[in-house]
Parts: sequence; C-alpha cells; structure tokens
Amino acid sequence: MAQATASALRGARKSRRGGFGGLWFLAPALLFMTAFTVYPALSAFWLSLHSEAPFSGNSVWVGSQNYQDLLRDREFHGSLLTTLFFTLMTVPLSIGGGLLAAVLLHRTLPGIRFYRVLLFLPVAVPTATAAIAWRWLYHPVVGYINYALSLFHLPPVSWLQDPSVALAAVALAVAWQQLGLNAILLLAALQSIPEDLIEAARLDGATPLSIFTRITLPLLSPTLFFASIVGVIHAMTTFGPIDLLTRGGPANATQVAVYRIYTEGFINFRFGYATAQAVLLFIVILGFTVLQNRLERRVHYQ
Amino acid sequence: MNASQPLPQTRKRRPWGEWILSYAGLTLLAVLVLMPVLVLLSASLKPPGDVFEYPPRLIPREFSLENYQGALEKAPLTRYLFNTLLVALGVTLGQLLTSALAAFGFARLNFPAKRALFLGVLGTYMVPWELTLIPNYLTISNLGLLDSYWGLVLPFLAGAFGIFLLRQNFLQIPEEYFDAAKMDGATPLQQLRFVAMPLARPALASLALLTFLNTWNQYLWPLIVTSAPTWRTAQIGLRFFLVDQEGSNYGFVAAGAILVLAPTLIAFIVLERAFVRGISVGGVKG
Amino acid sequence: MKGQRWKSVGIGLVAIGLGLAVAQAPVKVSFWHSMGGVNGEAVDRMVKAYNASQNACSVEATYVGSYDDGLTKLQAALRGKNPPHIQQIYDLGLQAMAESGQIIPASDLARQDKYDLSGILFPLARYYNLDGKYYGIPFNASTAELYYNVDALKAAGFTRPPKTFEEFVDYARKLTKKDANGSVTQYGATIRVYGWFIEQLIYNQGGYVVNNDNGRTKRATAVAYNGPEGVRAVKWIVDMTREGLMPNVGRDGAAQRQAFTSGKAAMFVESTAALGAVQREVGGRFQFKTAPLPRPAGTKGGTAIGGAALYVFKDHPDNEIKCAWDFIKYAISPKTQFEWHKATGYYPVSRAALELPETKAYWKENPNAKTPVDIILASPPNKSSQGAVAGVMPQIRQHIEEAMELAIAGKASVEEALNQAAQKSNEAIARYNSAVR
Repeated sequence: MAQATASALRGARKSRRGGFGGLWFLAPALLFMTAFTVYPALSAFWLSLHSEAPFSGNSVWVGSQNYQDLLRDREFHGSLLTTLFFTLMTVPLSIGGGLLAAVLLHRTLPGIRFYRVLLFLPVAVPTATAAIAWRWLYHPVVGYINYALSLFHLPPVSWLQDPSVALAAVALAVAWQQLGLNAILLLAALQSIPEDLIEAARLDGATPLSIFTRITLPLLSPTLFFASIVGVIHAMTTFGPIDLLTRGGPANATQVAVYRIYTEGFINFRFGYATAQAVLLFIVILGFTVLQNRLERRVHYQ
Repeated sequence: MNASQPLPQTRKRRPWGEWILSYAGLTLLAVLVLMPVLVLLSASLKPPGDVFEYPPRLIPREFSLENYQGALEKAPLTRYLFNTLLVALGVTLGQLLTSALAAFGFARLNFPAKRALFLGVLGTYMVPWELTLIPNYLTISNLGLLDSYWGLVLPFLAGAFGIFLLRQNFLQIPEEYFDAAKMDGATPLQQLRFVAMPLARPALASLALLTFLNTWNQYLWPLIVTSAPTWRTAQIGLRFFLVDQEGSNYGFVAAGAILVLAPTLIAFIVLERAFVRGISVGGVKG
Repeated sequence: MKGQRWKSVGIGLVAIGLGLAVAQAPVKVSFWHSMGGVNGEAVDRMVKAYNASQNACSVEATYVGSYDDGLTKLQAALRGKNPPHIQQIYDLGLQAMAESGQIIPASDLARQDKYDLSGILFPLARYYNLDGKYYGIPFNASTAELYYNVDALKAAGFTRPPKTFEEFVDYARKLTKKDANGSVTQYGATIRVYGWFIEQLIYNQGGYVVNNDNGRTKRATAVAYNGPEGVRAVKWIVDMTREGLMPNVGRDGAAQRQAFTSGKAAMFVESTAALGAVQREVGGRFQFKTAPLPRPAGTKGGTAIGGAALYVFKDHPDNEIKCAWDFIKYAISPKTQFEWHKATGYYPVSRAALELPETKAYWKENPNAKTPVDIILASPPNKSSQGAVAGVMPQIRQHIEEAMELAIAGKASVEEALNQAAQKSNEAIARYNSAVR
C-alpha cells in the first residue's frame, strides 16, 4: 500500500511538466459536472444572498442576512449536531459490520459463494424497499422486533416514536444498507493480502489476534479510509431513509441537516434561507473530509 | 510489499471446530442481515387479510399472489420498471465511461492544475442535492427535455464518487504493467482499455452496481421532471401506494417493494460474479 | 425555450394533421393531484369520464406524490414558468396560494362564467372563503372522526361510543387488556401524533389555533393553540399514551390504522377519508362504527373541514383556462361528487350532491359513510369551526407535532412544550407576514 501512496506522490510531482493532452480524458466528466453540479451550486449560492416571498419568485437582495440568521438559529445548530451523532453511529456500525462479514467470508469453505451473495445483498436493496421493511420490523404494535421482545417478557419499545431511540434506530437501518458495500470493498482488500505474509507471522508464533491487529488491519487501512470517507459523506447527506422512516421526528430527534434544509426550502417556502443552510452544510462536510485526509496521511506515513 | 504474489491455491485443512464456528457465525450474520428482506417477502406473499395478523408469522399460513396482482393492476408498474431500467442502465454506462476516463487522467496522466481540478471534483461530491434540484430543473426545462429519458439521464452522467473510486484503484496498479504496455506502443487510451480497466474490474463492478442502485433510488428528480406516465419511474409508482396515509394498502406496498427490488437484485447477482472474477484476476495486485 | 418552440411547432403540425380528420383537436389541460392508491384510481376514472363526456377539452391527470411532494414539484415548475393548469393543494395552503400571485381566484373564473358557487356546502364555503373570495375550489373534503370496534366495546360492556374526553379515558382503561406477563394484548385506543387532530380537537371545544379569531377577522399575527383548549387536547392524548392506554405510534398513519384494524386497539381517531382503507383491512373480522370526536365535558364546538382544493394557475392561454374551469365545474357537479364520495370516503362538496336519491340510498346501506356529513353540518357556524388560516400553517402543524412528541417522551410538560412551540410558530408568522408585504 505504501506503493500506492508513492505512486500518488509521483503522479503529483510529474504533473508540473505534463502537456494538456490529459485534459481530454477529463473533458466529458468535467463538462457534465460543471453543468449539473458546479453551476447549480454557484447559482444557489447567489440565491442564498436573497430573500423570497413564497411561490412568487420575487426575490430581494439581503446580502449576508440569511447567514447572520443562521448563526442564531438554534434549530439549525441542533440539526448539525444530529447529523454529527447520526454519522458517528452509522459509519462505525457499517464499517464494523462490513469488516466482520468480510473476515468471515475470507476463507475457503464449501458454499462460501452462497454466503457471499447473502451478506453482500443489502447493497442491492432500494432505499424505499428497505425503509418499508424496517418500518415493519420497528412497528410499535404489530412489529417483529417488539414481538421478539415480548417473548422474553420485555416491554415494547417505540423504536421510531421515542426521541431517545429514534436516531439510533434510523442509523441502524442506514448502516445495514451500507454494510454490503463495505463487505465487498474489504473482502477484495483482504484477498489481496499475500497469504505468505500471514503464514510467516504464524510460523513466528503470532496469535490470530495479533496477526489481525498487526498485519491485516494496517494493510486494510487504505480501504478502511476510503470506506470511511464515503461513509461519512453518505451519512451526512442521508435523506431518503429519514423521509420514509421518521420525517425528521419525533421531536426533531432525526432532523438531520439535509432534511431540515428540504423542509425549510420546499415545505416552508424559504428557499433563500434553505440554500444558505445548504452552503453551510457543504462547508462542514468539506471540513470533515479535509480532516480525514490529514488523518489518513498520518496513517500512511507511519 | 511485494507485487506479483499469486494467491496460494492450496491451503491448510482447517480443524473441524473452526469450520463449525465459521458456519455458525456466517449463518447467524446472514439471518440478521436478511431479516428486513424476509419480513417484506413474507408479507407480500400473504393473502391481504393475513398481512396484519398478530403475532406476526414469518412463514405465511397460506401463500397468495393476490398482492402482486393488485400492485401490478393498480399502477403501470411494468412500464415504470422498464423506464427505470433504461434510465439506470444509461446512467451506469455513462458514469463508467466518464469516470474511467477522468480517473485514468488523474491517476496516470499529467496536465496543468491537476491537483486543483481533483480537489474541485471531490468538492462536488459534497454538494447537498437540495442546491442542485431547481437549477437543474431549469436547465432541463430550457433544453426542452422535460418528460424525456434525456432529462432523467443527463444530469447524472458524471460523478465524483466514481472518479474517486476508480482513481484510487488505478493508482494501486503497479507501474510495471503500464511500462510494458508503453513499450508495446500503447496510447494512453489503449493503456486504459487494456491494462487499467481489466485490472480494476471489482471496482468497476462496484461502481456499476452503486450507480445503478442510486439511479434506481431516485424519487424527487423523476417526480419533478416527468409528468406523463410514459416517462415515470418505479419509485414514483411505489409511492403511489406508500405515501398516501389515508388509503395505503400494506400488502400492495410490500408486493410493490419486492417488485422494485427484483431488478436490482438481478443486477447484483450478475455483478457479483464480476467482483469474484475481478478479485481473482486482481490476485497480482500489491 | 428553443426546445419548447420546436415542440409547439410539432404540436401545431400534429394539430393541423388531426384537423383534417376531426373538426378540432381538444384543448389539453394538465391536472396535478396527490391522490394515491384507491383515491388515485378514482381521480383517473373521473378524468376519463370527463374526457368522454365532451370533445372540446382533454384533461391529463398526473399523480405528483404527497401534497408536500406536489408543492416541491410546483415550486420548480413555477420557476421554469410551466406550472400545470390545475393543481390540488391541501387546505393548509390556502393563504400562501391566495397571496402567491400565481393563481386566478376561482371566484373570478366563476363570475366570468356566471357560475353560481353558492351551492358549495356551507362549512367548506366558510373555510375556503378568504376576504370574501374563493381562491381555490374545494374538491376533496374530510373531517376527523372516531372509529370504534363495536365488538370490543360490547365485550367491555359499552353500547355507545364515548362522547367526552373523560368518558373516553374511562372506556380506554376498561378496554386495555394485559396477559399474565403484563404485556398488552389490547389497547384502549390509538391516536397518532398529528397536528390536524389537535386543531380539530381545539375547534371541537370552540377554541382557536391562531389569533384574530383563527385569522378570520384580521391577518393572524400569533398562534393561540397553546391556550387552554390546546393544552387540554394535547394533555388528553399525552396522558393516555403515557399511562399505556394507547401505543405510541408516532406520526405514522398506517401504523395507527393497522393497530386498529389488526384488533390491537379498540378505538382510533382518523380522517373520514380513511373509511375505505379501514373497511378493507378489517375485512369483516369485527364490526366497527364511526362517531364524532369527543370533547371535554362542558365544552361546545365543532370540527372544521380538511382535505384539499383545486387551484387554477395563470399565464395559460384563455381557451386552456376555460377548459380548466370547465373540468372543475364537472369535478364538483353532484353526480361526480357522489361517485367520488362512494369511491374514496371524502364527502360531497355540494349541497345538491347530498340531496341526490343515489346518495340517500347509499347512506342507508352504509351508515358509516354519512357520519362525516352529520359531523360537519352539526358544527356551529362560528369562527372557531371555520378553521384557522395563516401563511405558515404547514410549519404551525409541525410545531404542534414536535410539542406532542416532547410531551409524550416526558421531556417537557404539555404546557412547556406548547409554549415553546408557540414561540417558534410566532416567529414564523412574523417572518411570513413581513415577506408578503
């Protein structure tokens, strides 16, 4: 893996003396991204400096007013905090689960291919299908989970209705969906670790646990890093499952920033203000990614 | 780390205890992981009157396809599924192409402002979708593409995730492979086609699956840019049953949800072979 | 825009081509609605029948997701300057639509056409009239009612539904059953977290949701739902939930209904429009009936209407507007409204539809279908049951729901939670009022 970093560095160094030819490879992607992401983002930023009357589209320049209001908006701060908690629950859960699945799958057993299909499967389940299924499991009255609890004489839990558990319940559902992807990525990474490296350590008398923590995990770190970046961005922009499971409730317990922005812009008709929130959220996610990047470098340069 | 270490084909026989433990762990995990899907499948196969029985039964007392018939009759789901399939395939192919090209550019070619451009691409990955919804609607509307496949496909033909994923993979391919290809006089495009893409097959398969699924999941965008049933997608059909609080029919919802799951499941099983093949080809990876 | 021009050239050519065959191609009119499931099928049937009934106009109905989804689509469409001709928008959107500057008030359309709107059912007329004008035409009308499991009530010794809050709690206690392990086998009732219910329960006591008499004498400047009526209503629900007489189903309408239809809860509060779904899910496993909402002993009042109205958007050619209006007239005509009532559970919007012999015969067979009309016609004609109007009603409803959730979770007392919510609502109202001026 050190090699990967080395070649990345090499690439960066060489770039100073390349021609323009390489740009042609980028052209199609850049064209579409400029038209459908960069341009909209910039025009939205422009909008965030305005205030609009509902539906009429009449907008008034308000400068930084929306941003100033945001500094005082406790609900928006709360939604950022909720986003953070949600991310902190989802990402470790989905990476941990994926790692467990990958480790279990990384062996030669008869029928392993079958298990592989089963454990990767959540990745192929559409959000709406997953949400419908989870709503059923979590159903406060006729749900399977509460039924299972009642078999052990435990009181029913209002999974999606109790503000103190709802966020965790949604996080579990979202982590479940991400688990399959992480299992795929990590299994591929596990299989690319040379067997003789492990064998040599075993001959040196290393325990399975120390092999895992000293050899396997460090070699998986680039993949874990990739999975965590993707997981964090995914968690911070999760919308569908929240819309389908809790709609930001109960008592704002699952009101993550993207859901708040949607409500503010499209239900409360405050588009300028909503865009200002989205711009701020963008900056927050960017900050996180930069931070992760720093962390990764430290991991790599050891 | 050493490159070009082939995976040993023979392994030591494992003790029985470990076998049993492995199977037990795998089975337990598989049941936990599959529970949501099983619950749904079970509900969809029950006669409508049994859907809400309590205590809940995972294995229906009586099997019935009534919910499927109902779901297919009530909304033009087959047409919607066809539309979604076409759109998802279009977007997936487009993304694979644009991402592979751009990722190769970033990984192996040199040009001015490369680092800045790469950061810019990564930046677009973090743009909340709410920002792009209305401006993109206006673009598509001005191009006269409302109610068309193009309107559903065009905005998603390139994405930062794909570029990021593939670049990461292309960077891990040992330099020697490209050097060899260069000696044979391969152009960069040929290096991409014949060296990088085959070696990054698992990544391409993952990207294809995720793109397919993301497109499959889209709801608000298709809702906004289409009005005629001719162009609508399966998620809209599913909401027809689901969102309506007062009249929703859970048996139909479950059947609809399983119908919407089927194509992605097939796509997954097809691509799963690609992961495996890719992994064994990638055995040379370091 | 260029694409549009080519499209219209294309449409022109097609029109000429058709013109050779038929005398005149029908004028196309788009109609966006939020009716899913059974109700959506009823809309499709209605539109088909209209198109077959004449050949000047052709309506194309499009399902645009939930009411909220529909508003999202509308906002994009308005910015792109291609709104539909007609859109169905929920009751709460009344003031925002009236002040949007994007619609043609229905009263103006009626006046030009010399159409008499006085046949619209009185409670609906009162709700949808703002400054003496209709902006949209009520299309699907509902109200909140009580559904109860006759068999379960009988087993507990009750022969009629509860009429007061106090009675309701008493019933719920007797109806709640536990097994040997202490887990609940039957709940007394279930009432989900839904702001609309609270609004209706406030009207049922003669109270107001916003000030200035529900915003009917003057523009609303603050909320009133945190007054005694609101506190009583929320407390009633919160206390029963916390006592374990009701399961906590949250905001989930389907979960609430399933608790009732599966026989796990003996009573529930829901829109009158859910009748069809309840009937289907119960499937004759037990007998159920509908009744008016209870109210605290010693109070007086009546519920307001719910549902949605049809709005006509401007910036369309005159002949298209004419067709849009023609369809609306068809949609609210007595015969159409009777079919609609039968298919959906929404009650008819015109007096004439109530008088039809078909309607009377239908009610004889299905007494449950008549309950909403009895309820709504029994509401006293005051400004409480007229229903609240404010530009930010959707937000106000969210705030009420947050307050209920806080109180149910025990994180705040009912009074605290409602006062906190009221503060947020008041800020939203002030912001809206300054934005539209």
